[in-house]
Amino acid sequence: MIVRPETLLKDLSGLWTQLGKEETEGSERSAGVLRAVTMTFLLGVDEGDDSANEALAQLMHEHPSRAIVLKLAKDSSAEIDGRAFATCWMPFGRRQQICCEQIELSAGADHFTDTLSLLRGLMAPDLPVVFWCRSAKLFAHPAFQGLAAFADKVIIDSRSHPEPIKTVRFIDAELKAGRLYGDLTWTRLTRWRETVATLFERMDCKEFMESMNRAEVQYTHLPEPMAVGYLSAWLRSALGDHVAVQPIHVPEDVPWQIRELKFVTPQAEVSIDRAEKGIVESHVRDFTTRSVFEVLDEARLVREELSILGQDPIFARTVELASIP
Amino acid sequence: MTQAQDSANPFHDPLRFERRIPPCSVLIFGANGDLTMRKLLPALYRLAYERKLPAGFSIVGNSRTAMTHEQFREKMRVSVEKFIENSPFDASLWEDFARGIFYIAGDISDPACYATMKVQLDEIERDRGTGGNALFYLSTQPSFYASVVEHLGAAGLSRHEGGGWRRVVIEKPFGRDLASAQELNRRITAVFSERDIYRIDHYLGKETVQNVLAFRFGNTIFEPLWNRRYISHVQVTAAESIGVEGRGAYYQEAGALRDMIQNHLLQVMATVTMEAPSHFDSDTVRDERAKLLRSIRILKEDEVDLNAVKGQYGPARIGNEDVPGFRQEKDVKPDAQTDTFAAVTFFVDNWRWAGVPFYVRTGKRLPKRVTDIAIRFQPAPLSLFNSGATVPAPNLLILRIQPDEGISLRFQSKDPAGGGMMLRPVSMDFNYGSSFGTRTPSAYETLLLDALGGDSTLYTRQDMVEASWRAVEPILNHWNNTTYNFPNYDAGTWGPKAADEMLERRGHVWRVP
Ligand SMILES: NC(=O)c1ccc[n+]([C@@H]2O[C@H](COP(=O)([O-])OP(=O)(O)OC[C@H]3O[C@@H](n4cnc5c(N)ncnc54)[C@H](OP(=O)(O)O)[C@@H]3O)[C@@H](O)[C@H]2O)c1
Repeated sequence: MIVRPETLLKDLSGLWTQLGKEETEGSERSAGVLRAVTMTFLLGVDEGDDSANEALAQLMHEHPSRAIVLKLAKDSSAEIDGRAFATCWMPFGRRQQICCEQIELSAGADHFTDTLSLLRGLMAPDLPVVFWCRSAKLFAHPAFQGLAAFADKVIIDSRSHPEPIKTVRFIDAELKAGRLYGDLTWTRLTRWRETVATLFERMDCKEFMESMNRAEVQYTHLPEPMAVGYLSAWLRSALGDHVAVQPIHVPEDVPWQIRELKFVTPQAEVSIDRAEKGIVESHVRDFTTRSVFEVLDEARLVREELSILGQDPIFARTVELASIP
Repeated sequence: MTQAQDSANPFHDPLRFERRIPPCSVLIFGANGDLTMRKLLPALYRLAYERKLPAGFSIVGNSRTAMTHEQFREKMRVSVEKFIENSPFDASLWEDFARGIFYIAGDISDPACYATMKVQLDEIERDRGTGGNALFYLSTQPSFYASVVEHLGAAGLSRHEGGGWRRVVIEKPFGRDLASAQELNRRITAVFSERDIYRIDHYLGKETVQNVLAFRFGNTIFEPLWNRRYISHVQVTAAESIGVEGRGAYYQEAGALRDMIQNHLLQVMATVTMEAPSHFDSDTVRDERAKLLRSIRILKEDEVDLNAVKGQYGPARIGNEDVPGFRQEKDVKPDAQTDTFAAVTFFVDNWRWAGVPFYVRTGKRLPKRVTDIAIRFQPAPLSLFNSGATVPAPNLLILRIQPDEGISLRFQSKDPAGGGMMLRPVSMDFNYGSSFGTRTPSAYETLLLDALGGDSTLYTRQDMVEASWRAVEPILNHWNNTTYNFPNYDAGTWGPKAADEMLERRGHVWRVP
C-alpha cells in the first residue's frame, strides 16, 4: 500500500469534522470540540512498547499536539504503513471535549528511512517540533540523524542505551554544534539537585561551603550508573577545582541508584540520603529535614524537558564535564 | 530574589527549579481562623511538597484559643488534608513539616504576647537555622492590623539585629475608605518600610490575571488595537452564584463595592489598561499600575446615580430551591442597606482611553460563578453584508479569569448555509487549562512564595490602594447618604434593571457571560 501525506492529513480533517458533528448531536451540555495543537511531537518507539503509549496519552493531556508515532517494526523487512486517528477526552468539570490528533507510521529497519520523506509533509505548520526517541534501536538506526534534523529539540534517555557514556559524548558534540538535546537520565536528577540547592540556602551552610574540600556521591549498583557521572560532573562544575568529588560504590539491595550525597569540611559534614521510599532526608548537624521524591514517570520527565525549548547552559556544562574520560 | 543571592548559591538552576527561598519563619496572626485553615496552611504545605520551601522553614501560629503545639499541629493537619487542592497528602512529609509548626495562645492586644513571640522566634532561629528571617502574616480582624504592627515594632520584632529580613503581609480589606486606608498606611509605615509591606490582593496572584500581562505584552498583534480608536468599551464581570454563606455579619458592613470593586476589579482593570512597563520588576510594574489607577476619573456627586448602580437581592426560587433574600440571611439586619450588587461605569482620563467606558459589575446570587473581561471592538465602519438587515456583531475579545480560564475571540464568518453573503459570529477559543494541563498553583501559593522570596510585583502598594479608594469614594459617600428601596433584584438574575439602563444610555448592553 502506498502511504501519502495528503491521505493521512485528509483522514485527520475528516475525523475532526466527524467529531464536531457527533458533539453537536450529542448532549446539550457539550460545547463542541476544541482542536488543540501546540507542537508536532515525534515519538520513536519499538513495536510492542506499550508503556510509551501511556506516557504519550498523559503528555497529550498537557500538551495537545500533533503526535506522530514512529514505530520500528519487529519484522525488519516490513514496508511502511500509516494511519491517522484522534484521541479525545473531556476535562473534569468542563463542557468542551479536547481532542488531539495522532498519526502512526511504522516500518521495519530495512525501510525505516522511507518515513523521512513522508514526515516533511506531515508536520503541523508554524509550531515547534520535538522528537522523543524512546527506542535505543532507533537511536542507532541511520534514520535517526534525519529525524533529529526535523526537530527543534531531541529527547533521549542515555541510561537505556548500551553504552551511556557514548551517548553523552554524542550529546556533547550535538550541543556544541548548536542543536538542542535533553537526556532523561539528567532530568531524573533535578530533584536531587533541587534538594542540594535548598540545603545550601541555609546561612550556616554558606560558610560551610567555603571550607568544603570533598563531596561524595554514593551509589548502590555496578556498573557505575550514568546518573552518578552526571551528578559528579554537576558538582564539580558548581564547586570548582578545590573540592574533590568522589563517586563511591556502597552495595545495597534497594530499588534506587543514588543512596547519599555528602559534603565534607575538615570539621564537619552535611548529607542528603534516601530515608524510605519516596522520602529523602537532609542532615545538618543534628537537624534533619525531609523532602518528597515522588515516583517519576516518564511523562513527567518529558514534560520538564518540554518546558525548556532553548539553551540549557547548566546541562551543557555538565555534559561537557561528564564526557571527559 | 536578588542576583547577588542567586549567585551565592552555586547549585541554583533557574531553568529547572524556581528561586530558592532562604530559611525563614512565618508568624500567622489569626491562626485559628478560616483563612489560615482553608488557604494559608494548605498553600504552605503544597509548597513544601514541591520542595520550594527551605530546610528549617517554620510556622508560628497565634490566636486566642488555648492549644498546645501538638494540638495546633493536629488541627492544621486535619485542615490541610481537607482543603488541599489537586495535590496528594504525604503523611511522612507532614510529620517533618509539622516539627516546624509552633503555637502561641494569646491576645494580640496584650504586649506580653509579643514578648513570647520574640522568645519563640529566637529559639527557632537557633534551633532551625532561619537566620532571623520572618514574615508576619496578618490574618485576623482588620481592626487589629495597625495595632498588631505597632506592637511588633514596640517589641523589637520588626527589625532583626543579625541582618535577617522582617516583612509583613496584610490581608484585605485595606481600610474602609480613603481616610482609614491613609491612617492605616501611616501607622504601618511608621514601623515597616514600604518595601517590607505586602498588601495582599489575591486576584493579582491568580494565574490567569498574570496571563493578561503575558497576552498583552508578549504578543504584538493586539497592542496596536488596544486604545480608544478600536475599542468601543470594556465589560468586567465578577459574578458569584452563592449568597453570603454564613459571613453575613462581615458582608453587611463591607458590601460589593468595597469587597470586590475597590480592590480586585480595579486591579484587574489596571492590568488590562496599564501602559507597558519598561522592565518586569516589581517597582516598574507597580508604577504603571499606580499611574493607571490615578488616571481613573473621579465622579462628581451629581454623576454618581448615572454611573453607579447599587443592588441587593431578594428571595427567589432557583430551580427547585427557595433561596433567602439578603435581609433574611443569618446575622443580617432586616433593613440592611448593603450592596450585594454593584455596577459602575469608570473612565480613564489618558490619551489611550479617553471616552472609553469601563463597565464593572459584581454581585452575589447572580446566575452563575464567572469572572471575565470582555473587550468590545468598534463595529465595522460600513456594513457590506447581510443587506443591512442585522448589524454584524462587533469583534469581541474575552479574557476568562475563572472558571474555564482562557481567551476567546469572536469574529465574523460567512454562513455556508444561508446562500449569499450572510455572516455569522464564530468564536475562536484558547483554553488555558487544556493547552497547558499542568497543575496551576493557587493564588495563595504564588503570593506566599513571592513574599518569602522578596518579590512584591503582585502585591499592592500604598499609592495604588489610596488611588483606588479615591476612585470609589464618591460612590460610597453618595450611597451612604441615600436610602434605597431594597431588594431590587431577585436572587438568580443578572442584577437590577438600573444596571441595564446604565449601559443603554450609552447605547450598550451587558453581555451574558
Ligand atoms: N476567610 C476568607 O476567605 C478571607 C478571604 C480574604 C480575606 N480574608 C481576611 O483575612 C482575615 C482573616 O479572616 P478569617 O476568615 O480567617 O477570620 P476568622 O475566621 O474570623 O478568624 C479570626 C482569627 O483571629 C483570631 N483573633 C481574633 N481576635 C483576637 C485577639 N484579640 N487576639 C488574638 N487572636 C484573635 C481568632 O482567634 P480565636 O479563634 O482563637 O478566637 C481567629 O483565629 C480577615 O481580615 C479577612 O478580612 C479572609
